[in-house]
Amino acid sequence: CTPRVALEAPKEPITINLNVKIDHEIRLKVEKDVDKLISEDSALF
Amino acid sequence: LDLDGAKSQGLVGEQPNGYLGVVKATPQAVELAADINAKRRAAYDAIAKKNGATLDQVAALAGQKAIEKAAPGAYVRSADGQWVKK
Amino acid sequence: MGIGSGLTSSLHRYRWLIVLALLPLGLLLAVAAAAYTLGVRAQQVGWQDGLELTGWQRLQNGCVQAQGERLRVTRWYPLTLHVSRMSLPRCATGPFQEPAPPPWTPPLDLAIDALVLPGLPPLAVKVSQRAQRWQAQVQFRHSQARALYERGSGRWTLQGQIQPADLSPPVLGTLAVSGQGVWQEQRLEGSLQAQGRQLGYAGQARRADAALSARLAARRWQLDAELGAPLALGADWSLQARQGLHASGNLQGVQSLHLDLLASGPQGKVRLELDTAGAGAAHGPGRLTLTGPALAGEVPLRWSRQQLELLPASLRLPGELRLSWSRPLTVPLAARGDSAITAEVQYQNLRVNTVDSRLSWQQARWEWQGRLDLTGNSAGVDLAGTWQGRIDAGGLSGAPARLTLSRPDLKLALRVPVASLRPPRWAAPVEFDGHYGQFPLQGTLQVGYERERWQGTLDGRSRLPFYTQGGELQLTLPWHGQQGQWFLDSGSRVTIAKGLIGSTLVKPIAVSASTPLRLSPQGVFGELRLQADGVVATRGTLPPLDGQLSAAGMQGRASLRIPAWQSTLAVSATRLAQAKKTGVQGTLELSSPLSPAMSRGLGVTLQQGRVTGQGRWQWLGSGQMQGTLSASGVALDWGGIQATGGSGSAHVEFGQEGLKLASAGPITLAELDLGTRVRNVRLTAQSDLSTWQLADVHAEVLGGQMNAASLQWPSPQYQPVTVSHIDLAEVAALQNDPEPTVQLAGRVGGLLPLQLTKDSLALQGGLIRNEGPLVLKVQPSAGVGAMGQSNRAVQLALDTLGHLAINDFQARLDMPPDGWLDAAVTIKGQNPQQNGQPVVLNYTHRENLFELLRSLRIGDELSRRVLNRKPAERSH
Repeated sequence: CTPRVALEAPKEPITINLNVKIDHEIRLKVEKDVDKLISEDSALF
Repeated sequence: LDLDGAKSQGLVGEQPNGYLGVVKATPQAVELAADINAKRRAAYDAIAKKNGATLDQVAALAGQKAIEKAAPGAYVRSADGQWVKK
Repeated sequence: MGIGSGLTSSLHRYRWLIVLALLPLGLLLAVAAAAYTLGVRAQQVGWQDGLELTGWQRLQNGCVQAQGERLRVTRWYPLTLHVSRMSLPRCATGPFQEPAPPPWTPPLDLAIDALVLPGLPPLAVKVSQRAQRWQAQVQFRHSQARALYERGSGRWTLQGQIQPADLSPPVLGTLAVSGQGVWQEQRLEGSLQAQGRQLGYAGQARRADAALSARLAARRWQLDAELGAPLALGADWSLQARQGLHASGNLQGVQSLHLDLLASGPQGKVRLELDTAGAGAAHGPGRLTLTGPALAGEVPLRWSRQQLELLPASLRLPGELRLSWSRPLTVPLAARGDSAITAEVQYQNLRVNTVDSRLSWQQARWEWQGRLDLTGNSAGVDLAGTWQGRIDAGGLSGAPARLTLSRPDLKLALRVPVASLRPPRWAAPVEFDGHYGQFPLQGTLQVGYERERWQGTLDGRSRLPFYTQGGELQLTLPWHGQQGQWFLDSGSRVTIAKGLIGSTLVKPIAVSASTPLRLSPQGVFGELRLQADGVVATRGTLPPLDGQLSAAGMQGRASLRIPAWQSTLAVSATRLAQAKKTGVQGTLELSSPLSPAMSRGLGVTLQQGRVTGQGRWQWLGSGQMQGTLSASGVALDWGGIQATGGSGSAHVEFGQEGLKLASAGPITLAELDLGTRVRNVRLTAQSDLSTWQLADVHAEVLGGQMNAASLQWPSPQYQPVTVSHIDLAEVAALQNDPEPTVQLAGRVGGLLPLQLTKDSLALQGGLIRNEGPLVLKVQPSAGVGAMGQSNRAVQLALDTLGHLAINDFQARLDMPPDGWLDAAVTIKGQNPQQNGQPVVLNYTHRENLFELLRSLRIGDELSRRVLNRKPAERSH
């Protein structure tokens, strides 16, 4: 029997584990703006 | 009557919600508080829009900081709503 | 002796001249001496074409018997005197004495222009005496009388024609008087007859004849009078003399009296009977009886020579007045007298008692003085008052009258100065001070009668009790009353001064009448205008408000307006009487644009929109309202979060259990921009403003839909929300990355149990699956690509994920209230570029959803996303 080269679909699935974590640094900006408001605008605070 | 005068006379005080509260009601104190709170609200609104936050979140943050920065002896409203002197 | 003798010799030469000069002097002295002996005293003696005495008096044993002005002697023989004015005040000191007849006098003529007798108008009198025969002529308008007296025989006669109208115009008819008799020392006798013909009263047809005869002899007199027919007295009253009047007596006074007079008129009948205890007893019983529709009562009388006594009695008078006295009232029968009057007047259940009250009179002038005490109550109000002072024909005088009104909720002290209480205006500034409920009340009520109507002004001050400071109330109410109708004139005004309620400043408010206000038992009728200058609270202000109010007794309408916000409110009200309780009900209609100016006190800013509402309200002890509220074209924002295109309407109910809201038809919102746009939100809602029950919730988000049959907010429960057709491409777009590393296509859907608390959102056990095939492509960005070169496994993974056709996608989602979303995704698919290499991708994604949305709202690249990944593994 002759060897047949056949490109069969490999049966074994490839398992990939991917972990993603996303950070936003918005929180600090609000505080910065609020601190600026309080310290500079003495007429309001 | 200006803000510092009103604060030193114990007429008004800072509140956790970020707005000035009236401790001892006099017509001038109420009018001063209303005027200042209107301007604070506008400022909070601008920061909220700039930072995508809500007005109340910015106001609450400002309230917390204003209470921390309040001069000793000035009135601040505690969490349970009482006016206390720092 | 030289001088003396010189003097007498010159005297002789001019004797006739001196006698001539002395004659008038002598005569003068003679007259003066005669006058003096006659008791005539003069203040000033002068000479002006004859002797003149201005201001003279004739005294007789110390009592002024006659006095007058300007007595002139115009001729000496016969003696002619002219007096401009003379009066005869009676010397009422001793008992009545017979006047002495005139002494011998030379022939004289006396003319008196005005003889003043008590109770009579000034009379013109001419007296002449010739040969001791006296003649007197008296004249007053049309009435005149002539008397003759012959001193020798002592005989006198009298003739007279009197027109009663001369004395008091409305009295009609004529009186013919004639008489004769003897007048000597210590003896005055005669008889007098008077015939009244056609006596009557103007305006009354009734006429009557009357006859009167009087005789005086031996110091005893007799009087009889008859009245032919009832005599008209005016005001439809008439007088009948049942048996006529018979009286007799001596110089000291009445000894016997018999009288039975009956006066009858619209109010009833008054009968006066007087009789004598025995022949000549000089005293006797009597009775005054009142009968008829408005009169009742009987007064036993006792008369004696000096006085008339009214014994205790109680009389009912017109107007439900009751007059009674418990102690006998004695009235001296004299021209000048004084009597203690203790009486009580009762009207419904108000009583006025006299205290130390005295009535005194002198001829026609009378005066009452004493104290009046008022007690009792009327219309549920207790009244207590007192007044000390004097009353005479001119009006009242004395201390101000004081009156206190009290009721459980009312205490008012009134002070009424009496000085101005005079006819015809009877004006009085009534001052009041006290409180009504918690309202202090001070002020002055001007009262006066002018132009046939009662009128005046009420100036009052009070204070609104619920104001902690300020809030003074000022009332200026000009009023008038005509034919029983009371009006507040237009221009009446009530103002409330600026004040504080707690820490809210309420600026001045004014209500003024733009038309006269008619006050009636059914209520007020008229138009009013309201002007309020606004309210300032610590967090917001209400701009000035004005309005028109119209009151129509039981109904009223008000249309209020806030010009700055262009808001209008129309309220109608009708007074309601149900069972025992009275209340008010009515309708209201609201229409207002929404504007940022309104939102100063809110966490949300109302950008635009219009709100309208109408409803019915009721106040019956407590408030109730039902109505519908609609909003359209609403746009608002919570700072960074915008919502536009909101509309909807809801039934609103407000009652004792608070407010209840129920949407009528769906409430819709065109777009809510959280960072990602949520569109066509539709829901129905029920709420009591603290808990919201939402139902049929629907919204379009991320290309798909979100639905929930019902949701409650706030609630600790995890409530299922289904999502479907979510377009993964839009989810991927949330990376907000110009060259996105991940591309996704295909639709997913599933179930998200949400926890909606008061101020947080959480997700637990959410499951999302693919709806049909999905496609995943990962293009490594520069950074990620670089990492791949250095790590073969990563490179393999990246190649595999370059293109993935997914047939099984499952995502488990959890998110605590802090917003950190944990997604665990299992993807099964195969890579068509690697001829269907099956791939299993286990992908976990951790991101703070709130900060993601907030960064999207900013649209600000600065918040680059940092890919922080754990090293990828590769497993077979």
